[in-house]
Amino acid sequence: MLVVSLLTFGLLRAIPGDAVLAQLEDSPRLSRQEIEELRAELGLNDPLWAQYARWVGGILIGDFGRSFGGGLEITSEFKRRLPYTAELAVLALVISIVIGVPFGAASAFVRGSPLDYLLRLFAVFWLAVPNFWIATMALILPVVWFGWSPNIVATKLTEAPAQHLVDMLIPGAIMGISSSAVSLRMTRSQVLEVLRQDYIRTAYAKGLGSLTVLRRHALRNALIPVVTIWGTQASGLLSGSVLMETIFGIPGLGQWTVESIRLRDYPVTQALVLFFAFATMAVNLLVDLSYSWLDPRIRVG
Amino acid sequence: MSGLRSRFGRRRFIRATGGTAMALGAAALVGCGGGEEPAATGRKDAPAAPGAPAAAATATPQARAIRRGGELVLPQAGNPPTLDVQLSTAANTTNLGRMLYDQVLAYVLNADPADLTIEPSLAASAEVPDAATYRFVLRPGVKMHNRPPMNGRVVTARDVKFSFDRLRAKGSPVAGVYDPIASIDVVDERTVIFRLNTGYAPFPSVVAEPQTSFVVVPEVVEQDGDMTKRPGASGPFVFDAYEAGVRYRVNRNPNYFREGYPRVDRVTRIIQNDASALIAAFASKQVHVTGADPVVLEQLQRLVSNLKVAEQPSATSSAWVFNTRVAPLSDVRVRRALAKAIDQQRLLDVVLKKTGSLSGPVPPGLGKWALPSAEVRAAYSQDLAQAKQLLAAAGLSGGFSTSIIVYSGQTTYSQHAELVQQDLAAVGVRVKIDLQDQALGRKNLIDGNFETGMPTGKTTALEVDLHLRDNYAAKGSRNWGGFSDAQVEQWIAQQLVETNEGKRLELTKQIQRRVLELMPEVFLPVSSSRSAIRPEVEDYWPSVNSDRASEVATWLNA
Repeated sequence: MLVVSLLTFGLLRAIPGDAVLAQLEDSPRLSRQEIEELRAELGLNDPLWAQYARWVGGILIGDFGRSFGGGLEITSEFKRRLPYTAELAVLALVISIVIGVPFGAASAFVRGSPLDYLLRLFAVFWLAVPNFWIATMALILPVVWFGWSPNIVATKLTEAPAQHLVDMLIPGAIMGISSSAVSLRMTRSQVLEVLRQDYIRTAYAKGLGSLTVLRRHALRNALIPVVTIWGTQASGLLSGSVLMETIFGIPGLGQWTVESIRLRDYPVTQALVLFFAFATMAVNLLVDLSYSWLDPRIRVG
Repeated sequence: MSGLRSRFGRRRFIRATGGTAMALGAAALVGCGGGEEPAATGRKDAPAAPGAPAAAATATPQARAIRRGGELVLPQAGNPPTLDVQLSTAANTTNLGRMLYDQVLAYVLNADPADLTIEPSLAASAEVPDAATYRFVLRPGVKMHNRPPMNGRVVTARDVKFSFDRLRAKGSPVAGVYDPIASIDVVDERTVIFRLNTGYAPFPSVVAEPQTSFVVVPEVVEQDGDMTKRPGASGPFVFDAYEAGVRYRVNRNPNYFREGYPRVDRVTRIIQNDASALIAAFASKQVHVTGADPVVLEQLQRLVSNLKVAEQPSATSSAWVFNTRVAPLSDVRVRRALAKAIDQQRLLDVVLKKTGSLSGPVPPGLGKWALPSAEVRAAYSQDLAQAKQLLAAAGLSGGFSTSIIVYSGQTTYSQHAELVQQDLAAVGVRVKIDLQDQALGRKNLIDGNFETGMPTGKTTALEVDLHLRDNYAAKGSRNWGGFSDAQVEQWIAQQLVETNEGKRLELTKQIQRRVLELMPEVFLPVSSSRSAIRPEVEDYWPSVNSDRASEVATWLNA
């Protein structure tokens, strides 16, 4: 995390541009001197080591500072936005798994059949078509056909739970189905690989039914690479939901990250990048731990 | 109303100010009773046809039964940078501020976006005993919002003094416009006098621009340090809630001093800038209004029958700025040659899809203060032969190379730059388009580290001085190209103190003609902004620079 913090801090300041100028689009008669005073007020004229020490010192006592734009307290704003992004990521991941694994296994199991071709076509379609186009169609087509459209800003969970779920489910489903294409193809290829193994033949020889062989022996062994993919997807869904958050008006971390980069809001960008790095590490740790549950040989080893 | 008008001291004020855009009669909003009521008449409304210019935005017969209540939902491109309306001049903050706060003076609210008449708002009367003194008497009994800490108390002259003292204090983004104020004196509960160091012709305009004139609550600032936690004062709406990235809501102020207003119970602004999302939202009745360029408008007209269209001329000029400190752009002949090589009509037709106009130093949204369009058109007529002659006279018959800084993501400017690049190639000038991140590009312009540039960020103010002094005075805050001309400098100084409107108008025109002659920048065509309005929305009048709280008058006919 120390390396990440140094990199984040250093790279942000290496980007040409100016945090003050980026936020002063239309201020009549702001003189050069006043701009300098604003920079000083934000601590941007201090030596870089002093700025870094101040930032890290704050983090150590749980204070991520305040946003340059509007002076918002970062920790409280983060707490408000995290649930939206987390909910979207969890929804998408669950949908991705629920679709990707069973259909991937089925596709492998009925290899060469019309169903296999159909499922592979489905996967290729979702891999080829960008998310934002699907999202745009999801907004526009219902209007054209029914005069109805999904909400373009999210409803609060506490205000209307059912509506909130609908508001989150549509972007979550788009992200989830899109991600499921990768899971589906990976599951299919891994199951095909496993189905050729000797222990599968042994299982059939023992008289086990096809579904039992698939469920107990093939799928579990095929899942290890697939779980690795889920880990990568989970990290990506946490930090990469910016398009869905923008189109469906979800006030999550992705939307905030883009805004903070545009406005050179260093404290916000630094805090968010640090969080995404931490989340990625945590997810990868969970993935590593899950290997031993899926394959006891790893635990024994 | 007539009694109120007489108290304004109209003749005295206009005579003293030389009539500086300061017609104090004819307040557009008239008090009405509760329930259904006849709508205010005499507005410049007419039935609108899709695509029609929409000063005629709303079909308004002379007397209509107005429905009260309901929720008006409008989109907004981004979050307010802050909820403290005195700490930011961003439109996203001003949009909120104009619903929660009032001003001593205000631009008149009606259907004609070109009407820049200023009328008293919190003021009941205004007098100008001499060119450097403004005396305002506030309306009696105007109440603050009924919530802590003001709890519905009456607005006083002390509130006005506090507000303007804060606006002109160090650190305020608009402190510069109030430099001429020497002191603000409270005479009694309702009377406040602004004493200026000298005559200052823009004073009524800057006091009428919301960005520079909201009257706020001293107690809130004193207790909280700023107004971010408890925004609101005496405006037509009371703050309800704000969720960054989603929406903010305001509710009708039942004690608003203009009886019968506002007409809707609630206004919600949702934060959304995605064009497809806004098309879907407009067609599915999630928002009542949305911005609409010609392509979007065509799509909306297919989805929503009988929608209304409002069109406003631009209050922002758009320019290709030259760094006059560096050769060969320091040579006026070279600058004129570049201007003559450009086909402005093509920029207008191709980039702006014919929805706009050519512009001089003062944009067309400022009405009579802008140069006549024929004059601008003549100055910018393309003449490649003349351009080549000018370049040859400057010793550049073989042309030269230069670059244009364009901010990344600014599609319109990128397209302008590409067409300019093509036009200049015909006279041997090789142009490199240098796309730069906005913050970097702005820094380079401010530091003078550029050859030419097409920056955003020109002012949207309705006061002509902000368009001239900032850009063309040697020390102007937006004079990035280092332009300096003694004659322009002199005229700028004269117009600043000239209180005779006719003479001031002539001076500002002279400045513009001189600027066109010396070409420190080539002005690019500016687009009109169009809004699509749902059929059930009545009396919604977008203004040239979002300075007028149309939400006060709007009502929903369904």
